Amino acid sequence: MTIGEDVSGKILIVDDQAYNRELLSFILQDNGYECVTAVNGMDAVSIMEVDNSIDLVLMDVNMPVMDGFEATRQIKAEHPERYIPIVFVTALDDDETLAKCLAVGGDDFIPKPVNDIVLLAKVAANTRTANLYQQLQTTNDRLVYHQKVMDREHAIVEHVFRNGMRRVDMDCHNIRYSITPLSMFNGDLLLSAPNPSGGVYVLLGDFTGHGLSAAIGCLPVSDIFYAMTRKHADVGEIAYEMNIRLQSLLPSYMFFCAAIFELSVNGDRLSYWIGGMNDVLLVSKEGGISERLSAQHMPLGVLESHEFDSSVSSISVATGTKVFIYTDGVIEGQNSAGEMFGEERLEALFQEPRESYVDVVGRSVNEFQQDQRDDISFVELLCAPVTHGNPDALEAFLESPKADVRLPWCMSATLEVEDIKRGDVIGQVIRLITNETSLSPFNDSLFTVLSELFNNALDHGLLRLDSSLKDTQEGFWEYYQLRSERLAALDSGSIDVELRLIGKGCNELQLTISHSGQGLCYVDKPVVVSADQSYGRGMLLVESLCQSVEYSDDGRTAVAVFALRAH
Amino acid sequence: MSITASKLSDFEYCISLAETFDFNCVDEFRKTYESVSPAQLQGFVIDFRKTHFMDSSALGMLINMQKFWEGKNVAIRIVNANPQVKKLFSISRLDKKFTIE
Repeated sequence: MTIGEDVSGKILIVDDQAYNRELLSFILQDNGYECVTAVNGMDAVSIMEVDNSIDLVLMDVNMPVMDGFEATRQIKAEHPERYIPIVFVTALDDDETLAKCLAVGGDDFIPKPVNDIVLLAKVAANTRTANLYQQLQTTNDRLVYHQKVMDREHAIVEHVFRNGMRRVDMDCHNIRYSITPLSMFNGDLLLSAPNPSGGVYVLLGDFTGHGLSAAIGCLPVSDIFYAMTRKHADVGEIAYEMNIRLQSLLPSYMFFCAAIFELSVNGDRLSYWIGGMNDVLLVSKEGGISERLSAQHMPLGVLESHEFDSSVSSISVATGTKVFIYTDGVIEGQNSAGEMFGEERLEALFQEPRESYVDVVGRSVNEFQQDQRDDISFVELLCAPVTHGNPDALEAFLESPKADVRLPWCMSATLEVEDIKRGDVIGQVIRLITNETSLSPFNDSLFTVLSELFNNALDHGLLRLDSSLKDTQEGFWEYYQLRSERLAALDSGSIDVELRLIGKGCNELQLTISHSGQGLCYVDKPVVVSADQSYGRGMLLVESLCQSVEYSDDGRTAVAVFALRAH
Repeated sequence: MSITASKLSDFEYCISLAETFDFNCVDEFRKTYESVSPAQLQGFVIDFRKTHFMDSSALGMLINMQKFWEGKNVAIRIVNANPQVKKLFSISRLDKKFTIE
């Protein structure tokens, strides 16, 4: 102890001799310590039970009722969570006694008679140790607390991620893959979705880094991916949208390397956008790499929108070709000599023809590397007619029938000459009814039906055009030329359009279109349309798409009923 | 412009249609495919990716396009048509005249 050291602490003095207790108290109090006393071991144990502010115990050995050894054993046993130094104050100096003092849990000795310098030095030294222990304990508690908070947050985020990614359609038979994340969260991202014409989209990407910070970008990327693939966007448009989002979201040192592919339903046409990824390998049916697709673009999240290049490459591929897309982790795995797996070793695996290379690549990389240092992901896309494992899911994806809660509404409009001249009447009607989300799966067909009925009323009823004009190629253009001339000159007439939900559960849409022009006789429509005739298919479409079509008022009114269920 | 044409290779052109492909497109569509020079041309890909709304004149336009290129050894392929659009092709038997992917 240095003189003047700032000392403090509460000390329990245990001795059956009043003189000894007073002497020790006197010295210690004089030096800034607070003292409590006990007259024997039992007394000391009781005091320790109720007073948890005691920092150090000075313990006599021989005492009536309970000696210092037993008291020490009990105090240490009852306060395992705290480090309370117990220093024996004893006149006994035989080795056996000293060894026993330590064996029962004592921390130090002070010989009797007590020398005040030695006493103060030993008390200070032991208090210092206790304080260090206390600090360590506090730090440790704080770490345990933070660990718990982090575990909990990870669990929450993991839950969010799991739900966020649940929609991944990995049921497509053309896709095989392997994903081995380095930590709970993956900086690699594999997404796949059917496209509305029956083909399939695949995205494999790699965020800078790994773990949670890398995985954080996965959510916005997958949201965009699913929204855009539903809309049948091309891969360049998907990349463009992702770039905008990531550019505003990620810090400048983080970006997303990605390859986005779309395979046509027949499996013979690939379109792709690759930014900052390793070469994508095309492996021919007979084995061997037939082509390498290099990244044409920068990674996502780097360029500003106006600099971004969303151009798409498109190639025809032979049936049986496999597209192999992989992230850095595959070739950067190291063996004990520090050698990387490398592209050469990887590409050698494709020499043999195989049904799939996913297993052999996974095995080879695993056997090669000493320990995993990055997320390892790769996906193989088989170029063959696309089949989805779960056709119901595909159906649900395409149709997404909303809750069946249609009200029996009716919408009608009388279109006067100036309304008709404005054009895009059917487009406007369709936009109006898109608010009824349960109709949206049928919008495309409804447009066709409405267009045909409306154009019949307008072209033949009000404008008196004759379809047979369309017989020749030139006539086809002339027809539409004549149509716009007559429409411009039209000065009277109107067309009524009515849409009405009818039937049980409002599962039918009744379309009524009538006009004020001359009557028509639709019964005379051409029944057989020759294969290269450029007209006459309109009513065929309407009759096939609707469950009934009827005319009245000499053909001026057409009533078609369209069934709102899976066709 | 709702219809765009782009060169896929020296031999193939892609014509991308807009959301609506109906009688309003008659002139534009015709000009698009007639403006392609036939030297080396082997085929067209007509991309229906964005197309939802069609009427029967769309079918007429496609048939006229085929007539225009008839005998010139030019293949016309229809790609990315959604199921409802494909249905129109099959009702009208156009799927027998065109390669529809």
